[in-house]
Amino acid sequence: MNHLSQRAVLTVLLVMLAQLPAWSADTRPASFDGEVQDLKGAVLDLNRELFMLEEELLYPANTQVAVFVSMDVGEFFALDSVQLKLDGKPVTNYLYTEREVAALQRGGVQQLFTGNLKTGEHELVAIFTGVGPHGRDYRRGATLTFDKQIGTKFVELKISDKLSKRQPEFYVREWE
Amino acid sequence: MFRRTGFRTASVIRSVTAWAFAWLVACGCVGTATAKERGIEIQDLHYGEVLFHFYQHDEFTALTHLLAARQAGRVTHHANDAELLLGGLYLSYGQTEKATRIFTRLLDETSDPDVRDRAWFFIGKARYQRGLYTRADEAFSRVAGHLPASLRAELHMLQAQSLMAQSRFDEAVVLLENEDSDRAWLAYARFNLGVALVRLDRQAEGMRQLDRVGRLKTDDPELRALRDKANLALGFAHLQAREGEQARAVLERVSLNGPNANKALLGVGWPMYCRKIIAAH
Repeated sequence: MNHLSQRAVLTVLLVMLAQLPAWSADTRPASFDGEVQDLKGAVLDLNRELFMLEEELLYPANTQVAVFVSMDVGEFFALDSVQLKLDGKPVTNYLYTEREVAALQRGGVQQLFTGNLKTGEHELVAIFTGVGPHGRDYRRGATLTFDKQIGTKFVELKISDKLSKRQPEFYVREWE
Repeated sequence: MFRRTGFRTASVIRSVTAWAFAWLVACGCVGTATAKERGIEIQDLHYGEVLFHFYQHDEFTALTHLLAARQAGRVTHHANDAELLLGGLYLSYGQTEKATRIFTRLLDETSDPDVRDRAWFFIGKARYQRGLYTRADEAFSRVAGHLPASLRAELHMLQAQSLMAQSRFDEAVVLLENEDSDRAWLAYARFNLGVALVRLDRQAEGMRQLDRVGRLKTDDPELRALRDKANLALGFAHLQAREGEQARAVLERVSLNGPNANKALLGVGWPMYCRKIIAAH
């Protein structure tokens, strides 16, 4: 391509560029905002689908068991970690960050473990470690023997304060 | 010399304003009162699980999990709260249209004053984020007084920000003057108002707002950082007004361990250096 034709192409490109609307953050058309929202919406939908698909494939509803941790007040116990054993086998050891403990104290519930179990009787042991009243190291366990039927099984490990004794309490609760 | 300081003042004030606004945008967080604050007992574990992520400011995960839980019918006991949370999360993710649709539907379907107030609050917030300030004011004015404390502080902050965006600074001043609370949201609003007034050459009023933020008593690292920023902006405003001694007193309040220490030390140094130059001549 000779110089003349190069310059002609460049000129055409510059003219085309000049025709393009100069969008700034304030003047972009409303449809642009709509397109961005649609795109973000598509990302969210895809993420939700993947999340649900993953759960369905890895933990089918018939065999699924999930263990949650919640906290009520938590003045007498600063949670450090939870160890979970299912039928004598450790299935998780979870160490908490300050942010996670704060989220639990505000009313959040953590899904600590998700797995699969056959129908029948099973034993769940949770061992909580942390700092108890008067700054002493604290280690307590809670046990639940439950009957797994066909269908999902949810178990909640709840840490609460026993005001009368000024001690923490640890409950295990089955959910349908 | 002071002309140069004046240039730096404008630059510092511009940078701190940008910082504060960036924080507000980044923190476009939903600001829902905690389940504990509102005395809600979790009846759906999966709703609590969403809150667990939300309270850690992991909004994207919270949103994904809430959408999944909602589709699986696992948040039925907290239907209204879940819808409010979903709308708020959509809002923080820039999905203003979806958020507005949810809040409008809630307003149509419920007569619960708590839910209605929160819906109006979020509709106003969505409009504010889209720059529809007068319509945002209209929505905020529909909030009847059933908001939890944390949202109330954010409401006043948004109202003040909206007024400022419309250059209605006097009304913003009145709104913030009537607020006794020093909650983080209001501190940010006061800071922004102070900076805006100084930039409008309404020095005395702006300085009063900045001074209030600059005297905050707090252990919160975020608010301590804001306090330093306010003292820095106030100090440089004093320098611009050629009030070296007042500037020094204010700039000395800036923490020596923070990111603003160098600028504050520079500000303290300018009037001392100027005095030395004048004395030498």
